[in-house]
Amino acid sequence: MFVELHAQSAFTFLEGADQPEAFVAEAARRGMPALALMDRDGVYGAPRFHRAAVDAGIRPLLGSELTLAGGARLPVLVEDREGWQHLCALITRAKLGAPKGKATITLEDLERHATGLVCLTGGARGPLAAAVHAGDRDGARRALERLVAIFGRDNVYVEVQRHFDRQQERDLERLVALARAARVPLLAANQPLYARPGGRAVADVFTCIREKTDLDHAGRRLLVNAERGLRDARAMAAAFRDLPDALAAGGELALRLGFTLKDLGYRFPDFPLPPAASAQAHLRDLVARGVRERYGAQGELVERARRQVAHELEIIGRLDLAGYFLIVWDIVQFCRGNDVLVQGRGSAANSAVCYALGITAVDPIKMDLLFERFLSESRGEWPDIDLDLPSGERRERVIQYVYQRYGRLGAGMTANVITYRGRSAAREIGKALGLPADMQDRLARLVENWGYQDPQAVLTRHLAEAGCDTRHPRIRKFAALWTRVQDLPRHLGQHSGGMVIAAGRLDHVVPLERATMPGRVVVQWDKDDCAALGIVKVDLLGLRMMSVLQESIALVSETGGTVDLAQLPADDPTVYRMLQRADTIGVFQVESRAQMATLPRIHPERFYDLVVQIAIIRPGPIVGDMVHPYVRRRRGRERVTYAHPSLEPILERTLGVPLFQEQLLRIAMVAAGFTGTEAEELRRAFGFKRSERRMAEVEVKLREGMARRGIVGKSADEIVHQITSFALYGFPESHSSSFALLAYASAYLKAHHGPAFYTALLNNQPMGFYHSATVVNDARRRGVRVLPVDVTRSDWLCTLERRDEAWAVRLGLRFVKGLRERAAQALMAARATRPFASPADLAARAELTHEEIATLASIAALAPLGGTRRANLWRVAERNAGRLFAPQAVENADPAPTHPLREMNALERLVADYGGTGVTLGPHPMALRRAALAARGVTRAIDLARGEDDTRVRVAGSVIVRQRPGTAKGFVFLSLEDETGIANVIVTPDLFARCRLPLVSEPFLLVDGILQMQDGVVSVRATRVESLPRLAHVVPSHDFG
Amino acid sequence: MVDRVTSVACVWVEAFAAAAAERAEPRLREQPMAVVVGVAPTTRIVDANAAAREHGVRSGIAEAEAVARCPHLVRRPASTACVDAAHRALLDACYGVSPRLEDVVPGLVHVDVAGLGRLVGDATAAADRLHRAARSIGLPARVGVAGTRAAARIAARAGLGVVASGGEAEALASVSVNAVEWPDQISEALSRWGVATLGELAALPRAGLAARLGPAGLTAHDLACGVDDPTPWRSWTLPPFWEEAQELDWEIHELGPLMGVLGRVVERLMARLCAAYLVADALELRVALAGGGHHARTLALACPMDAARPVLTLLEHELGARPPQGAVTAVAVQASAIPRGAVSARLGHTAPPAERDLATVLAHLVTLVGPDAVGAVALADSHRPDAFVAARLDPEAVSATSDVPLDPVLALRRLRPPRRVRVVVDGDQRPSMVSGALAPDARVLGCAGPWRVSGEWWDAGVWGRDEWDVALSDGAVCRLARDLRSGEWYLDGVYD
Repeated sequence: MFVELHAQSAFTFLEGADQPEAFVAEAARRGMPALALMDRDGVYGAPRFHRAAVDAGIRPLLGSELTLAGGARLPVLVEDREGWQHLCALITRAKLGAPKGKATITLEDLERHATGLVCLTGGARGPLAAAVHAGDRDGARRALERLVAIFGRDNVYVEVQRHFDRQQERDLERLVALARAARVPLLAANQPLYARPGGRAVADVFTCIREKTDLDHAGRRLLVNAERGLRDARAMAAAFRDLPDALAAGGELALRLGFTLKDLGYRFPDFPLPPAASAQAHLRDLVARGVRERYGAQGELVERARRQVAHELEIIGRLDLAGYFLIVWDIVQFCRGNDVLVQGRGSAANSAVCYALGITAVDPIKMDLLFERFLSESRGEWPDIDLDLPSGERRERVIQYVYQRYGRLGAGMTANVITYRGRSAAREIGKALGLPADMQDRLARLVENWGYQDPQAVLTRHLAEAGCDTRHPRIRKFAALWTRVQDLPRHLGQHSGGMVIAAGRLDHVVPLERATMPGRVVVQWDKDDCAALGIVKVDLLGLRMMSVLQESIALVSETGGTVDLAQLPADDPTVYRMLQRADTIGVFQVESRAQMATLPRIHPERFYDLVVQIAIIRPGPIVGDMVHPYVRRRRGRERVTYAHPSLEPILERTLGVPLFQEQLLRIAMVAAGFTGTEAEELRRAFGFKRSERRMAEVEVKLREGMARRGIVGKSADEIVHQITSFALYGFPESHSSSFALLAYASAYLKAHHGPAFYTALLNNQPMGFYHSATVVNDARRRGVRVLPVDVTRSDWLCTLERRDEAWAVRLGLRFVKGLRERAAQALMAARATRPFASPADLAARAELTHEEIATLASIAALAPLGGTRRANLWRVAERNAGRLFAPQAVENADPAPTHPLREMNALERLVADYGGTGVTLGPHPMALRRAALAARGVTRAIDLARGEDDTRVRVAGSVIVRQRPGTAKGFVFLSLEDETGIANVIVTPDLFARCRLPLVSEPFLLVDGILQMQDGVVSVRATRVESLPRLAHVVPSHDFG
Repeated sequence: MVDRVTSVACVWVEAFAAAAAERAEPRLREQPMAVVVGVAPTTRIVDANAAAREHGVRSGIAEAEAVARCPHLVRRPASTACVDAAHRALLDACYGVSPRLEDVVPGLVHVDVAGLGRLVGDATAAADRLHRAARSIGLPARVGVAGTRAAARIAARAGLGVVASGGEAEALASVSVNAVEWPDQISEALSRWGVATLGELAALPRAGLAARLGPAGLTAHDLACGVDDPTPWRSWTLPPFWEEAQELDWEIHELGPLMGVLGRVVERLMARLCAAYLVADALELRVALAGGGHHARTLALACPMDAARPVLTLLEHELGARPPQGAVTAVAVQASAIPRGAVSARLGHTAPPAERDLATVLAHLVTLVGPDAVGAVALADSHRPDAFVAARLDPEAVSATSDVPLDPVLALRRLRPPRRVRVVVDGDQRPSMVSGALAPDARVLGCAGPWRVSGEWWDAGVWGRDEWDVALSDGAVCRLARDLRSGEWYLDGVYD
């Protein structure tokens, strides 16, 4: 019986040409009983291969082709768990000891880790190949003897391959002689690089990409023929009829290889416990304490909380997950103890245990959230807890804590497999096909708009429409290859925040690799693979808004105030008034153009409205047409109805419109008698990874359940329709609630602690939806004073400064374009020693470049040292080192130097400010034009709200946002800012087509249109667009993001 | 020594690349047109004509943006030949007014107009004459006249016309600094300092400028005052023209008499080249035909030469292969010349074959088999059996020894072209009988294979074949090949 033991998938990056699943599918089709995946220096595809093989009834065998020092590749197969551990350790050692993307292993390494591994001698790149090819019998014999000495005679096979290659046959004869002489068994393999027909073309293209050449010049580096596919027993028997022992050896060896990924040996780390305590008991104690702290000692709520945590603890106990919760709790405790703001998000917010442990901040009891959305007994998956942390250094501190706590080889970031997609795939294939550069560009642009599921016929049509000659063989090949490579792995990246940890050594479970970022290691599997194999993952996600909140709170305390996020007043009227006005620039999640256009209509009055607001303005609900029914009901224009009276308690909060996934689960539970677990299964069946078969099964079950409760006919149909369409779009209520907390907190800070909030917001730019210039203008409109960059006062970051009995924001040196942080730090250090006497003194002591000091002069940052902008520009431009840097220059500093230049006018100051910092604290560009605009009948943004609906209006401003959402059917949304506020403009597809250029490229626009006022939302439907003269600076805007 | 010029005219053509394109294609003047350069999608506008500029099409913007601004914009690719021709014509036109010219950059010429009073008139008349001269060759030039080249250039760009000698600084004072193309450093400094006119720049203290901008600052100050930098006047002279031509009083219908005329023309040309210690690197032959047509051929020589004989042989073969389509009324041969030293033999190297022999043989071969089939054979990097390329023949690189290792065991005698045979295969698709090989019919006693090779699946040349080594009943050991696309069998070679 033949078994292929040397298959290489596309996870042998840029060599293999098919997914592991494709190999399994083809093997199953050909009735092969087992298959071994042997990718180069990794087991990247092993989990997917394992899953697919188990599903297909094929025995998955695992191994890897290890790159030895010297470049030869040694295939090893895993016999048992120890062998797996050694393989992972070997790969880890090779990967961590070499630059990223490279790996080498010495024979000494192999000696230490040979147990449980079976070695093949490989193909043309194996350790015997060079000596055999050169006819060096002694060299080949010595190499084979060395392998036998390392692995043992029973664990070495001389691999023979037949690809109908004349030279290979000559080598094969020598290999057979060598094996017979050394009494080492032969093993036949084909080392397939692809499973499906046409794989040779992909493999050749990959060769070109790898070798940085094209097909016309790759020559003999390409495959000699198309014989590197997956061969079945019959084909191999025909090829190896003269070597039946080699053919049979694969099958015999396969029987010996008993390892599967079910036997991974992964163990979650033990949490250090108090003496004589079990993890479950310790968790129960911590939760009980948390419940007391959160809910107090008595009351109806605390009783419900106790019941809920008891229920959850029981499930956690049954699933033996107490240790996991303790470890997440431990990370949260570290954050709390180290001044790192942390909040759990996602479905964990459904858990009262998480709330009691302080992992999440949303009260699931009060919010009546559904635990089963988070954890279910039957799913057999680890719970998914995502922790939001401030971005940057604080988050890195937490990641490093996890490494330190569980060891460098005990924790790792999960991988993110970068795959061939769209443009990059088009470009690389075009290059490999030797298409001209302009054609590559054209194709790359073209494929952007292709759905990747497009059948080839559609691709060909697209190509023809783009002016490509589809009769040309290369163009036809391009379309086929582009489709074929979609989703094939390209290389390994790092997931943004997923961390896995293990008891003992993670590198015995999965190989670890060096990440691009120093101090990080990454495992070879992505988060889904880890989850499927039961490896626990904690997501440590960086969120800039968390940084803003943390910095804001620190700044408030600097000013003598205090803000405790846990103690914020729940229904602060100022906050809600601000939200109702859509005065939300800088507020988490509700600052986008679309959110602003809905806030006045939904008119949030309490926290839950904010939860709805965050969930509803998303592509899913918009496409699913849930927004308008909800808004109509909210405004009282439509009656609140339910598909069945039993659904009223579930949908009451959202006025009968299902918005959240939890509602879907509850509908199934109430209407059809599903358990929480069954309901979650239903959601998954109808979710993004839909399967027709599963959906049909679940629907039958749903209808049966409803029928038992007497729900039939139209009501039943309506419920099924709601569930099936909604499951795809629904947003988790718990997730939305967690985000709403951050949104409320940021709105609260904006409303009550403006200076601190804006300071933190500016320090964390770029973030959110708006450029710093818009944030500064917003701050000033709200009465927050912003002070310019000043070399005698500014730090690197923005700071708070007391001015005229109020706190003002002082812009930091980080806003000065081209100023190096190191130079700014030197400047601050020099200033701390003694004040600067003059610009020359400053330049000398801070070692600024001419360009840096000139920029500081142009933005008036040197003004406190005497002189106007132009005076200082003239002074600092002097190149004579003796005069600029010598000490006498300091002594002779002239506080009001004379100069021959004209002083800057308002427009020049504006241009200098934008050019030097990206923001201006002088008049808004539109204020400088106001007189002329008023003469043309232009209405200011602030005056629009006083206009009349459906009347003609003319507005003008600098374009700060351009949006063309995919859900808006070609409509474009512009935000025009003037000195009084922001005007929202809606551009129809027709007008956009006619005036595309000014709309996408002009920084200042004048728009004629019809004023629209609906539920407090003011917008202008454009009928004509005109560009206004540019200024000599770049106006920052958020375009089509 | 610096030549003194007391009255200089500057002839400047705005957006010269566009103007040159319009000159070559006059109908483009009627519509917005721009000259583009680069590969899509990074194609950019080099220059635009006045109509296009009115629509906001400017130098440096992307072609896509230009088309968006002006949907009817006509685009022409940038052409060095077109620009060179136009510039040469501009120089010729100016040369017609004054023999003392300075060739500055394409589209910009300085003309010494001092002393033209009696011939042309005053400075205004000279400017007018230059303007008309440029217009007569299809170029819309602007002309400025001043006492210095700097002032004349600015006067041309700013449209000041004639500036009185000695009054340059005053005349230029109101001109925007943007009328001058400054180095980046100067332009940034002027922008920061808010210096808007040349007058404001001239008013800045010279020492202060020197301290801040160094020598470039002084140059800028001089320019603002209309003062020339001290570089001497580099007079442009008509370049030597390596062409010999012969107009005929009769029409020639046959190659023999034509070669007789060409022989005299080529000898004259080669003699001139010899005298100048030059050799011809390439030749262009132009013949005028009865009825107004032309016939032109360019000959790239295998090696640079100054001997008339091989050149004539080449011309004879060229004209024999592609004769003029009509009777010849005039001939001209133009040489692209390079210094003779560039091709002298190196010490210690074998002298190349006599150039005339090599050139003659190559010319014969090219005539016979076409240019793609002549050269040095080199193995191609390909799996395709016998794939080779014809590389350029380099006599110095020809070596008598071969690096190809010889198989000591067995030698294959290849049949070229391979002989078509009939093959009967058995149930395993292995050859069992061969007909039409060395003997009429032969049984296959033993065979090895198939050895399968295929390639170029990405192009029209896709190929594939199976090879078998067979021992035949007639005692021969052969290599059979089967074309996988046609299914045909071939006897590829015989093992000796």
